[in-house]
Amino acid sequence: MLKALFYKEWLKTRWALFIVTGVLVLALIKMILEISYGIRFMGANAYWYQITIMGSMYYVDLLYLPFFAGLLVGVTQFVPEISESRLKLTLHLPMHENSILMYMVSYGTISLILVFILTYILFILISSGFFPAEIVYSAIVTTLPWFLAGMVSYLATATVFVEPIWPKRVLMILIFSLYIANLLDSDHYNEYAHSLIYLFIISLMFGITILYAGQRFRKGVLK
Amino acid sequence: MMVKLSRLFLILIVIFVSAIYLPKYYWISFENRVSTPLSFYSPVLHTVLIAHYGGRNYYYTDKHGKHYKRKRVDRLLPLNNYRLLAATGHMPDSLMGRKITLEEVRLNNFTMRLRPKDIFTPVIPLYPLFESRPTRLKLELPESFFRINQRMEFVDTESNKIIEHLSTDFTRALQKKGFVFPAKKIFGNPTTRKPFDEGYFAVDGKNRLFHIKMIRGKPYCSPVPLPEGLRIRAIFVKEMELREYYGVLISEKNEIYFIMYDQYRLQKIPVTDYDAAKDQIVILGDLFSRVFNVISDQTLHSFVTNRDYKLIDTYQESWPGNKETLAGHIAQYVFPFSLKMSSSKSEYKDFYFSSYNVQALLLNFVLFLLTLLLLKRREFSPLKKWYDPLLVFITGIYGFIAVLIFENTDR
Amino acid sequence: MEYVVECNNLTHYYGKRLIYENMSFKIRKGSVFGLLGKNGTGKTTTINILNGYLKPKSGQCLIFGEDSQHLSPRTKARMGFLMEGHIQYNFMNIHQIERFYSAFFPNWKKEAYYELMKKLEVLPEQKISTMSCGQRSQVALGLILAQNPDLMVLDDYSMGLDAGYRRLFLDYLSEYAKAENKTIFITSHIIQDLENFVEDIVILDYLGVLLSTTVREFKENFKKYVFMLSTREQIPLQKDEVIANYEILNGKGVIYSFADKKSVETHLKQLGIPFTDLNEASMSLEDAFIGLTGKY
Repeated sequence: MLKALFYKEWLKTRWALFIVTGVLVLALIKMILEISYGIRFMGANAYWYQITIMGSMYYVDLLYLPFFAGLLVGVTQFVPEISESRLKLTLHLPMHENSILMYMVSYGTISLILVFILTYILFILISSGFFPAEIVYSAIVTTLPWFLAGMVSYLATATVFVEPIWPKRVLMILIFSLYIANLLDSDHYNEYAHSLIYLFIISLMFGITILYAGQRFRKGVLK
Repeated sequence: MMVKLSRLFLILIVIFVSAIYLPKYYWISFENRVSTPLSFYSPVLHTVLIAHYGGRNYYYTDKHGKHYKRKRVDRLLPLNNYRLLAATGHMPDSLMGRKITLEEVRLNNFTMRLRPKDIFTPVIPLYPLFESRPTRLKLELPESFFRINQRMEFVDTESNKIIEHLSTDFTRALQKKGFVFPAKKIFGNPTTRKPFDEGYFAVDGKNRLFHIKMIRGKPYCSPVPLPEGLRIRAIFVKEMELREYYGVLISEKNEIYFIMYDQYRLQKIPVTDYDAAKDQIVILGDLFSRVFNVISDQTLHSFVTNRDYKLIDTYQESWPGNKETLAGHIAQYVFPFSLKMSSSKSEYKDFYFSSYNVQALLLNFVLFLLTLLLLKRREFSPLKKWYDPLLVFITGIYGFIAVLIFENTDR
Repeated sequence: MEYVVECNNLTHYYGKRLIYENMSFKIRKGSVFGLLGKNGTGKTTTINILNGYLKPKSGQCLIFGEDSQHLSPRTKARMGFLMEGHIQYNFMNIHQIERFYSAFFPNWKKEAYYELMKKLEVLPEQKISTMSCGQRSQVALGLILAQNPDLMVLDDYSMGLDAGYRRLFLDYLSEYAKAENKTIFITSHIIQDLENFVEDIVILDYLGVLLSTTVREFKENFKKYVFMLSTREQIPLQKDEVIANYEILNGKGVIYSFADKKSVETHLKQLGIPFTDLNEASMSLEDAFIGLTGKY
């Protein structure tokens, strides 16, 4: 049953996942080009200096991409469910309603994590080609909150869509955006080194926010 | 159960977000600039003069509050304004009973600003080691960066590979001086915009301090004797033509030392009440004195020493912060606490909670009653849903917004 | 008697608007139950309550003995659900959707589904979203037939279908209903199709349940009487315990009533209506439905 449920989610989101992966890979290719251009024009030592001392982020293009990735996957997965209340069919499947919702967001979370891991592997490989471990490590620590923002934007999108009432959706969007803005406020490398683990824990809470919206969807609220 | 938890999480997220953004935008609307005064030492009056900035009013006072116009002060602080005075022909040719030259004045003038943000900041532990005796005189950014882990390693920036001979040479030189790997901290001033290079100061595995330089491609390493029990928090290296000291050392106990050129002697600076985590120091040096301005959010504590670092004058001033304004008082009654992710004292994003404002309990209580009322209107038993009012009572306006947005839905 | 569905004292409001109050009905095992009513009388609301998508203000529905607010997966597996408008996962094609659903239901009858699909002129890769309304209804029907549930809940199967597809739909359902102990709950606003299909009916009006009966009883007891009026003036006719509904047009009067001819005659006389030629007229289920609920 789980396999079938994931199959349905896959049918909805596969293009989004391909696009997201494609865009992330393109961003990494652009990054390679920019690094090699920078090194050619200012010299490798000046380029390193820009990174380590001046704090420039050669990966700054990645800042918003995970966020949009999460948004896109969330939209493609949940818009078909919400349009014409198709979610009623899904919740009518012979499984527990909360389990169905949790499996649905698990699917999205897992597939996004896979895409993000793939991105990270490529990112680390590319970075290691140009820079020593210290810079690569800093790049990972700096970008992790951005990818965390991607996870949150996905989970938040799912919750917003399942919520049946528009005014509440708007409030949710406001609050979730402010939370995400907190993760993307990077102007120095490794800034989140101390708080990342706690932000990660807080962000985990987004994992089950869909259940509140799901309950409202099921029990009926005044539209 | 899970749905309850889901709602609780949503509420916590609202509290988290609103505790950050409500006070933030409140203060953006009402906060006024509070400008910090700064002390100078007048070799004419032999006392401190305090500069008060702030928009169009730029004036000085002395310790007793007597006002001085900016123009008059030019001549009372001739060393700070020597360029202006020299240009207009008003520069005295002797001060403190001795003849002075402009060249002397220029050489001895310096400013250093040590901020908490410069200490509490993440670093990528890779540093360029400059050639201290560049053949073409100008400092040039080296082709390699170094790290000090199990040994001192130089990484070629072009190939991203370790330069073996340099690494071996330097590791050997460090070992010879008793350096215990890895380095715990490394401090330097890696820029080409300085008159010359003094390399780096590195704290070794046993908390001892070493001075490391590259001279004509060869390693230079010297231990720096430290007073018993001193633990280093930070060193601000600053190469100055004066060549009096290499930099400022700040200990974990908030003591301040200059690392002198004179055999790495540590010159203790007679500054008290300094907290590196909270206060910034502005050091003004000139031919005759050193002024150490310790600036915290609402106080200035200035220590003036002579060139032998003996205390000759002090000054202290406090001013009301934003908390004492009307907006600040209102804020204390509205917001039970506030949260910031960033701080003016650190480059790290962290959870900077304010202290809890007891005054806000008044509003909290009103909101608590309102929550009970709302529960009743929605036909919930407040006894069964006790956690909503309780949460509102503790978190005040934040919790109230949260339970308003995410109301209890299970009837 | 064994009941598959028991709804007791359902009351529901949307905000301040009352949908119905204290509605109760039971569905016998193996019966075909029709919930009839015009648009907006709460048919879909009832279906939503039945499926657990809506919590009524008060009251409760039991399905196979389980509270509809907390249906177990086992019970849900025994229920087939046709959404209003034949909504299905329209991002799938007919093979994908069969593959998807088959994983959930142990008694899945693949052949039942493909038998229907064979007759559809659709490409194997064609997404449901690109199909016509009628084709989509066949896919939705095929899926619930393949599911082979004990209880079928059909929310307005007729919506958007032309006569042919409606007939086809009911033919398949009749076939299914004949099987042992299969129960069908159907709502519709097109009554004529259901005449020979449903057994028990509940008729909803804007204020709640108008009538709860069997089709046979309804048709037997609910009568239409026509008469001529000898005056063209306003006559003091109104709904009461005898007159369920009435129409006056061009000197002709029509009265719908559960009473026999004699009682109606007496009643009209008492009211002082100047009528002649009172006669019982035959009517179909649809006529009866309209007679009872009115044309507006």
